Amino acid sequence: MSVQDWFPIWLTLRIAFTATIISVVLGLGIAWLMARKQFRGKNLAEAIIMQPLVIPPTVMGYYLLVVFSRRSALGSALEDWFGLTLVFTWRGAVLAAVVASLPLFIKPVRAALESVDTHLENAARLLGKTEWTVFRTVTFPLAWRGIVAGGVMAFARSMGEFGTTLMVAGNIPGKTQTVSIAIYDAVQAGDDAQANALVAIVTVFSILVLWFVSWFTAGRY
Amino acid sequence: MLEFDLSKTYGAFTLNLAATVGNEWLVLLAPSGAGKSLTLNLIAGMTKPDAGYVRLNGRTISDTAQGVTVPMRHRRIGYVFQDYALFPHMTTARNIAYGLPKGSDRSAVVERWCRFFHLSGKEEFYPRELSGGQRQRVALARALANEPDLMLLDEPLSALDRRIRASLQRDLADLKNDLSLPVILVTHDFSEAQMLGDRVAVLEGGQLLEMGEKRHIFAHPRRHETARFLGVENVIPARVEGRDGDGEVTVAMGEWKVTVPSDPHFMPGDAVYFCIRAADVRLKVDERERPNPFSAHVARIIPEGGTNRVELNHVTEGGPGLILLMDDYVIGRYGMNPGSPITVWLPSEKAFLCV
Repeated sequence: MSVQDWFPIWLTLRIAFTATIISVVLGLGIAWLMARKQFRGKNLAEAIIMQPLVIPPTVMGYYLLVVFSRRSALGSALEDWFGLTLVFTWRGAVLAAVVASLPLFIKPVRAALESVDTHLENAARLLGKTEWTVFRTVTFPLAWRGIVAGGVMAFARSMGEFGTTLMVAGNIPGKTQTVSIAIYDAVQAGDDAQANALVAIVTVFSILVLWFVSWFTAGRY
Repeated sequence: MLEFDLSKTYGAFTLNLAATVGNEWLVLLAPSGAGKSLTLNLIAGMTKPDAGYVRLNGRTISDTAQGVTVPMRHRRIGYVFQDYALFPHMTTARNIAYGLPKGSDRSAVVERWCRFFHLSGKEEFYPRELSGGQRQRVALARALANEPDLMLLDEPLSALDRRIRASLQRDLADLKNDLSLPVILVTHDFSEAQMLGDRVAVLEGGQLLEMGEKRHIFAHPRRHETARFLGVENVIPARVEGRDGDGEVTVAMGEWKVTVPSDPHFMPGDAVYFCIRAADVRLKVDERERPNPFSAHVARIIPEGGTNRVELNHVTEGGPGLILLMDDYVIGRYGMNPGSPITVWLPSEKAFLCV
């Protein structure tokens, strides 16, 4: 494979890592709110967060296009103030991956946080600890398996994102063409060698990731 | 010193409780669902009260009128949870030292409390490797190591089996001697209140029935609900008939008239409850004159391991029957069976009246 042929793999990893970091940071906050706080409209918030699991990826992509295009208020504000262009750039692919992977991260993490007995957190608070210390020394150590599982799910989902990415970031070889899109392209173009190589690499990588996680989390608390 | 006056409503349930607790053990005694644990949660700050205040050593830690809510971490309250709430990913030593401020001599504190609670040698054990009684001791040590201004104990013995309870009760009794703090202990078991309380507050349905020195409450509860809850088997509706010169009070239950010691609270005509423990009801076996005799029939005999709970047929038409205890030997000796005629008598000084 030539240097250009490797580009989709490198781009996909870069997108998946960036998207996973954003999903973990955002998702931990949301999952904690959902697990520990009662507020009005909680069910509606949950329904919206979980949308990407059920809505067609193309529809999701269309929404993102409408919201973040240069013609929209948000899109033009991001571009004017931060010089951030999302549509038809690799950052758009990150956005698509975050939206697609966030619910997959939140679900197990919320369950993991809910499984931590609130008595333990209250015990820590009464022993003089701040909310951050309680999270760092009690909640996180007891919920980290779920958080790692959620992170891996988010990463895997980001790696395989196709429909939404195609809508938001397009299919620009050397710029926004990810592995899934490159495989689709290669198959359409009848380039079986390229398709087979990419498929093999993705398959081996996916298995390695899951194997690593199951080894990493086995036999601890 | 702890002072509080709190109320909280959940649907049809309302908790109202006020008390002042010095360096003593106050036992909140109540059946489940009466608001015992809720009271502790409100004082500790896990649940927000609807109205009221909590002051600890003169410091207001919660006051709805002033809008004061001190965060839990600044309340200096030691809390022992019913389920222990030990950190499962930490050893005994790390659990005990968890709340210690930076710079304190952690190993000295851990050693001291492990010695007190017979946990020496268990410092590196995880909670899952400890017995129920040891876990409860770690939970106590963890709360005490932080040198709290107040200790709250939520049913500290209820999850333990009988043998472990006894040894933990001894530890708690030792602790009671050493500790000079306000302590509130919550339980549904009157024997725990009897062993550990200085004062006892009896709750029902979120309301205080009565509160007072332990020996007063146990010897002579004022309310019939308290008497029932403290295990007095015979609580029978009655009417005050009269008082004689010595101050003895005569009460009537239907045809049966009984004298009880002087009680200035009651006047002739008052509706009262006549109370006596089953263990104080005597079997009349000869012709000697006895106070307060009563003849009836045995309704049922319930064996309770060597002794038997004997229920007589009703005292008044449709009312409850008198209950007494009889050893197996006595049952056999006098051929007691359901339906047998029986005469009992009541020592006046053992009986008392409740509203």
